[in-house]
Amino acid sequence: MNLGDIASTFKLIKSNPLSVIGIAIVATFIVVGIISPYIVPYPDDAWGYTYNLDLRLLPPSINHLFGTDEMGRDLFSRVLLGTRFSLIIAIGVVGIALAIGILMGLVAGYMGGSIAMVLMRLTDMFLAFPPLLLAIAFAATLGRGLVNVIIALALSWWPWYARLVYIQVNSIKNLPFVDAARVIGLSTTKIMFRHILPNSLTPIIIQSALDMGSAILEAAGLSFLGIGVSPPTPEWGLLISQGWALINRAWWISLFPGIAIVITVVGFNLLADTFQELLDPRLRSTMIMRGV
Amino acid sequence: MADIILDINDLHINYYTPEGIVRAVRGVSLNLCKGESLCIVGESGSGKSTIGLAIIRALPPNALIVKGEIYYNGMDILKLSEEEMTRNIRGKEISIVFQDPVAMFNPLFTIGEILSDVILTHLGLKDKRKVYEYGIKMLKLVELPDPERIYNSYPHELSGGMLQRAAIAIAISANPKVLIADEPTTMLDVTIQAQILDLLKKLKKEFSLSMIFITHNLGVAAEICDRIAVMYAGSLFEEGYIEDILMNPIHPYTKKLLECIPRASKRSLKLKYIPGSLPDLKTSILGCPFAPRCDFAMDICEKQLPSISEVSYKHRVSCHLSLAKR
Repeated sequence: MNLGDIASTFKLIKSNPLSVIGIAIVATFIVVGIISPYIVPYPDDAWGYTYNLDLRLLPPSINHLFGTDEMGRDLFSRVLLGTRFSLIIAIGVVGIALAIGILMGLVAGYMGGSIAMVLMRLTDMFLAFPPLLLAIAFAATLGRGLVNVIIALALSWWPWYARLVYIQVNSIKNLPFVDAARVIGLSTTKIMFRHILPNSLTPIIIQSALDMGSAILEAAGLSFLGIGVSPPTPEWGLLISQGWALINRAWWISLFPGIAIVITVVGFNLLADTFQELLDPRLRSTMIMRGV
Repeated sequence: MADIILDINDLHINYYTPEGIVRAVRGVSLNLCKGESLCIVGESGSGKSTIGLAIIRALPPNALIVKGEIYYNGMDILKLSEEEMTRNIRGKEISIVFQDPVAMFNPLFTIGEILSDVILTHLGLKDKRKVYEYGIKMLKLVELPDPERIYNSYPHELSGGMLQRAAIAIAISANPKVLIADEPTTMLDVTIQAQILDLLKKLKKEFSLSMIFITHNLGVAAEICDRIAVMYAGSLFEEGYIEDILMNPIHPYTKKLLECIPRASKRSLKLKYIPGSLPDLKTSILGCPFAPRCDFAMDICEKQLPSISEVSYKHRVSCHLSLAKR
């Protein structure tokens, strides 16, 4: 991916406040996700190992910024640690789905013929179901747990990437430079991974940035439905579902994890927009011409 | 002349299009000797580029070699598997340079990255330093100024002429024996064109390359070739040493073609052209494909395709007229 010179990239990012916000949110999300186990004020509460019935359902205060839940656990600690689980889910789901999708799309697109026929019909079978429904089916079959949630979501998502890569590869494999690489005697693998794949990555990068947000959202959805991660894991969706029953008495239990999800998803969407601007040469050059 | 390195025997190639089957090459036999350069000359659609692509087995998927053999050093390369072609022939034995140098380069890689890829694949050099030095050597060989800078340049930073030089460097970097040049100068302006032709001539001598030069420009052909093959509508019309073709053309089409070259000394005259156009290649042509445009067409021309025969030493013509004369 040729981002041109770094200075102009920075300039372009700085010129758009939304890009700055998006990058800031995602960067914070990643940093917090990594360090959260070490900075949470109440580590035991955060992991959900304890309960303290004296502190049940306390509203937000200085001691408990987001209040406490029905077991008397500090909600701020739990939401903060939840970042880590959302990060793992986002990277895991998109990573696995990308790996399967890119491989399928690349092989089907480049080889064509009956190989493409088999691979793409397989993809179509998955695409025939609404992705969340498919994920629910997988999650229900696999049972609860973080790894199972990731597998369920990744399995329902790779077909989208496979399609995207397939279409891209099909338009790129007939470009003259691919023929040139072939007639000079480069191997098929080299042509696929070095010449075709990098040229088809732009929409995939944008799509996967968007999907990081969706993965968090859908994982929360699965947890909310009770087929996601198992309690007492402080996963955001699970936190919302636990607070849901008490929404009249303790609004904060569901609200704060909800806000966390909204901010993160918006952050990833803004990041996707930023990528789109940076990776589109035409958009980029007009922005440079405008003197930004 | 000496040993034949490439021998094309009765080659037939069809393109399968939604409009019908295009018979692009209709029984062409040609050969290329070691160290020789052969020009294939013809109008657009005469099948000359198709032959070039067939030799390196890079025809588009809708093309099919219906009949014929292409022997490289006595081995029929049409019978080789795709993998054997990639491993043993392409780049290593036979290389090709295309018309549009700009489109030939992957925009995401520097010239050096592409060049070193080819060197790594074919020459088995392991040491990075050695690969780099070899790459620079190749860029110097094609007379690119400041090869170190060009090695690290992206294709969009270079001009068409520079890219064509780089493409030639890549094509010959694995020491192929045969270089196919498919209209390598068509997209370049005339001054650059002459430089590239000189470069190809120099490289041919230095590496004792055998060359197939595909062009529609007889002037370019005269500049660079030992032998000329004139093609029309998928058939070979006339083939021979350059002096024979230019001084003593026998086929009416070759004569017309030579008359059509604009000359500065005759600027008061109108530009000449051959009336009519190429026949529809989707139909099966019974007689000589040039007959409708030929001034000397006889009855037999419409009915029977003339066989190709030698009129003098290594000068072959496919025309009823030349047969009748003898």
